[in-house]
Amino acid sequence: MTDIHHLLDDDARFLLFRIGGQLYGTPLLGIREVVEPQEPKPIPNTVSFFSGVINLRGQVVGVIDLRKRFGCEALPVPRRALMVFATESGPLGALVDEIESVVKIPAAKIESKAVIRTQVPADYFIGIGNQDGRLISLIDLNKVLGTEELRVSSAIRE
Amino acid sequence: MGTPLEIDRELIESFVDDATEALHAFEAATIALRAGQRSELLEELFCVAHNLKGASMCIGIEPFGDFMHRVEDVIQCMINGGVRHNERVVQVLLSAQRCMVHWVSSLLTSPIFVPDTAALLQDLNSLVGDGHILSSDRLISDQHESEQDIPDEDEEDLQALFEMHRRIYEEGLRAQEELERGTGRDSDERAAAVSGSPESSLRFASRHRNAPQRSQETLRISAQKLDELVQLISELSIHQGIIQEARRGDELPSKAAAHALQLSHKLVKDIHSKALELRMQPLSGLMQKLERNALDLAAMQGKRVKVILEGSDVQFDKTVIDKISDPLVHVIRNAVDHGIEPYEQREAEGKHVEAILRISAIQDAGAVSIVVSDDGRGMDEQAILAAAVRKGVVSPDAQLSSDQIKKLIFVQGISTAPKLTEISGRGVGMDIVMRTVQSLRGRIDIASALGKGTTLTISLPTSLSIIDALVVRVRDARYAVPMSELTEIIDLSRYPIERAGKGGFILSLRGEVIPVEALADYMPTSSCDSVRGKFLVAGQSNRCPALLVKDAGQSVAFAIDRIVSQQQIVVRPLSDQLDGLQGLRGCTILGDGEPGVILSLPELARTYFSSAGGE
Repeated sequence: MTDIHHLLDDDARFLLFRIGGQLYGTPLLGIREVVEPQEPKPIPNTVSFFSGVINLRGQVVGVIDLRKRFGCEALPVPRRALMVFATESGPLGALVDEIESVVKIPAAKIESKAVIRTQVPADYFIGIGNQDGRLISLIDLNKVLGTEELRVSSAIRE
Repeated sequence: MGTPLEIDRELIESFVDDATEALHAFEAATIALRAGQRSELLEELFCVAHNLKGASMCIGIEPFGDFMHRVEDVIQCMINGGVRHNERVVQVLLSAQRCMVHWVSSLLTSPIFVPDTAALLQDLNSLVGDGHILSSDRLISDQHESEQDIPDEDEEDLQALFEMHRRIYEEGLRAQEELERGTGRDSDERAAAVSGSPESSLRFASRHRNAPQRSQETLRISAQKLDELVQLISELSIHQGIIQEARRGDELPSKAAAHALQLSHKLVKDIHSKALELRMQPLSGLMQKLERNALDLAAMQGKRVKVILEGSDVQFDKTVIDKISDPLVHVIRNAVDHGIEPYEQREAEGKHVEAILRISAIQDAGAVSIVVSDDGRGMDEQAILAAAVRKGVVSPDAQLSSDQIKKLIFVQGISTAPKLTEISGRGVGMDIVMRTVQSLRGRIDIASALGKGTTLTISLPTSLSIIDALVVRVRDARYAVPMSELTEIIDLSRYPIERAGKGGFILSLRGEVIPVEALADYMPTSSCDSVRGKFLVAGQSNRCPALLVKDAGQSVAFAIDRIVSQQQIVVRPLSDQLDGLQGLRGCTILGDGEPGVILSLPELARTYFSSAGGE
């Protein structure tokens, strides 16, 4: 396990978002901002869930389509929002269907021992949060995105 | 004055900053002294030494102040004509400078740091005592002995004399400073009366006229702040573009608004380019460092080298300077260590005993060449080839051109040096030099004649961050291509294009057969399928532009759909996760605010040739 315990103090706040109807949460601390999504420009030779780059106030920011990354179907009429993370390897955006809210989930309400099959490396899976009876998958997205391999091996042509 | 432990950290930092700059000036002036004793150089040296002494005493670093005082004495004597300038004096001053640089930088971690200056002080004292030590034709060979030359009794007498000398001046200076504090510049006469030395008061007068000017010459700005500023200006110019669009759409009909808009557009553009210029620095600092390295090494090996610097005012992006600094030092040291023959050998071969090492920077459009040339022994191609064969890099029966052989020195582990020397020791070999230059989009050329010398030409783009680029459209995406990487743009519809086995295409341009590739094939995105050979269908009647690129002397033409525009773009690195994507140089924001990808066509050409060669 990586050190996620600092995320689990009583004041830990999470940003809740939806992908394909499923509710997720990620520590608010790692998020730089949430912005209206723009149409990303694709980059050659990158993985399919990497949508491309956008111009975020003069800065070139890569965008990952979290729905593709998590293998979910998109909502019929997605509202879509872009969370921008300040990851270790630079800013990176994550496209989701909907941002719900920011909530405080005290450590006592997080079941971190739960063994669940997820699409993210177990190291970055914080646990299942219980917020007024709703169960939320809590993921350290900042870490997930920051370590993602976005290049495809350069098998050009033929 | 407080004890050193109580010294405010901020004070120390600001002192270290100032002192580093001052010592740099000290070094420059000392090196310039070689060319001949000029009174303004001595004035400058004295000024630096005196200011450093004052500043260090002021914040309580007394040992440094005391040391500075000794240095000041030597310079003082030189001004008075007591010490005649010669190579030895320059060497001692340079050693003192080196020691002070080390000292000053160590203060940051330990404010009470004091290096061992005994030997240096002895050297300094001996200069003051002896007057002129060596006649100029015996400088180098005698230099080391002369350090121990002075008999002990003399040493003591000299020491006493020196102490007296020192005290007199110290008193004079103190009085001087006190008066200045009280009454300002017009105190010179009174100071002269107190110190009893009319020359010194004259000197002080000129020093004080110079000092304020110097302090306003430059400003220290943190690179990060500068980058933030450039970033903000970039954002500003993007919004400027949006307003301009609105104006075009008749949303701002007023004439005054139109005028203001036009003006502000120009202003923003000017501010942008000015801000980017701020990153540019003259090469003089780096040149000085190189010269210093060459001279130090030459002195160590008992070689006589004259270093000629040219073009030190040429401007470079700071990032480039920082990155190229260590590799260049290596190149220079190589030239002195391997290139330049020992004194005796040069004499025996009838060469001028003083070798010439020329370091010049030549500005070209969009690129700067740094040329390092020596008149040493030149490169022995046979020896290099033999070393390469020994290392198994080249097969014994390989036929290599003279150019290819010379380039072998950039292969790791190939060395023709008969014995290992301790000279390099920086962990930077010629292979690293090559790699650094390539990573900066530069290249290295070598010319060498056995017995006559070697010339190494390193060509680098002046800026990493702003480049002239051609924006091209390929399918539904736009890409930026650095102009410097293009050899030519041709219209494919004007050339007969032939099929050439395995589905490839070729054309003949001025007698050269050039393969034609569709750039689109190299840019697969998840949404598009490959459309090989599309340019052929589109060609013939319509214009079909192609970009000609050379890699290692071979050309390849990349067909594109359309040329959009030519513009200056600001290169932004791809995020770490995308770094190293084949054929991509970085990102940029295009004129209309859309992000775009910058291609590296030579890299794509390399991909083509390696795959074509492998077939």
